Amino acid sequence: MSQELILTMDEIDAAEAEIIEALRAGERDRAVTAMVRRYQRFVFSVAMRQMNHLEDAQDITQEVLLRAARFVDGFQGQSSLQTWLYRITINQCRSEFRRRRIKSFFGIGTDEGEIDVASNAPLPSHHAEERDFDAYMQKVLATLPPKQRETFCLRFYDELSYGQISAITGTSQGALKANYHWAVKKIAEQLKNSEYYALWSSAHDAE
Amino acid sequence: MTPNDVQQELRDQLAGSSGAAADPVARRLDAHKQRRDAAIDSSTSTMPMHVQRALNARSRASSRRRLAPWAYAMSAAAAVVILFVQFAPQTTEPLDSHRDTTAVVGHGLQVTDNDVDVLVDELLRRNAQDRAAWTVTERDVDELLGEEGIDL
Repeated sequence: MSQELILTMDEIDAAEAEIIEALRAGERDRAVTAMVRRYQRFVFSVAMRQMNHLEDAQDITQEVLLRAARFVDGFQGQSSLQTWLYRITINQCRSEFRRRRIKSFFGIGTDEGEIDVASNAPLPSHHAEERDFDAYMQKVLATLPPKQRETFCLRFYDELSYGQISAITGTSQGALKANYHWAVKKIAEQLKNSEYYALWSSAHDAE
Repeated sequence: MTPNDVQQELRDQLAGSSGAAADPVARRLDAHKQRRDAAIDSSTSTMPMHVQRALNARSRASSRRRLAPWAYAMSAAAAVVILFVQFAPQTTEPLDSHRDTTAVVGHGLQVTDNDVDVLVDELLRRNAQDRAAWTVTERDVDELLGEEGIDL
């Protein structure tokens, strides 16, 4: 493991330290509550990216947090709790996709087996234009290579440090910065060529 | 609003790659992210409650599963005890029956006890006089205990 992959103490934030401390003190309920509050958004965000469906993401998030709560006693704090949760979430999403493929193969249940990243429903927002732009952004993200997309999402949406992303993905920080750079470049190019950019420019000129 | 590290990094990256076009793109991306954050907050606001409920439900189910073998074992043991009490062969006579028997035999026992004492005294007396007279004959029994006799 390279030096870059080792988490610094600053990156193990206070909430995670509190969870580990509560676990060591045998206060399981406090640890679980703190874990849910601290990581529910992160787990949901990852699940939403994978599932591209609001209710599915909520179900996955709940299942992941439940699993984590059941097995949190065995968590030794040797790696980041966030890394652990990320892997559980990804595995849970993959299991769900597998389950759906099997159901789809045998013609059981609904026909929502394959979900295309580009065809996902946007998160609810108030205005039609914003909703359209949010959906458009999903399509833009779907055009990125998976590593660039995940790096961009973990950095931009989830606001993780490169050290944290490195611990989660097992990629060096240098490679992550390169992935992020290319992702931003591709997003910017697509946005500049989109109908939205013309609208923004005209609005900017009017101001 | 002052951009945080991530927003600033995005601005820097956009400025490097897009030049003058960076600002409107950055602002829209920031707004997009804020809407996304708000939607996530809304979607996860009740998550701790759901998780806690589900944990409690699983805990109750787990307790039931742990207790089930004990409950089965206790039920089986109770059933065995009931069957044993109900159908086990009587090793002692019922109290009433015993009392009746005593009552019937009681009269005979009283007589018999006295007769046995008399018989023993007679035998001791005979033994003291003559060792050969120790033998108890049917006649002795009939004489001493009467026709009813006693099963010695």
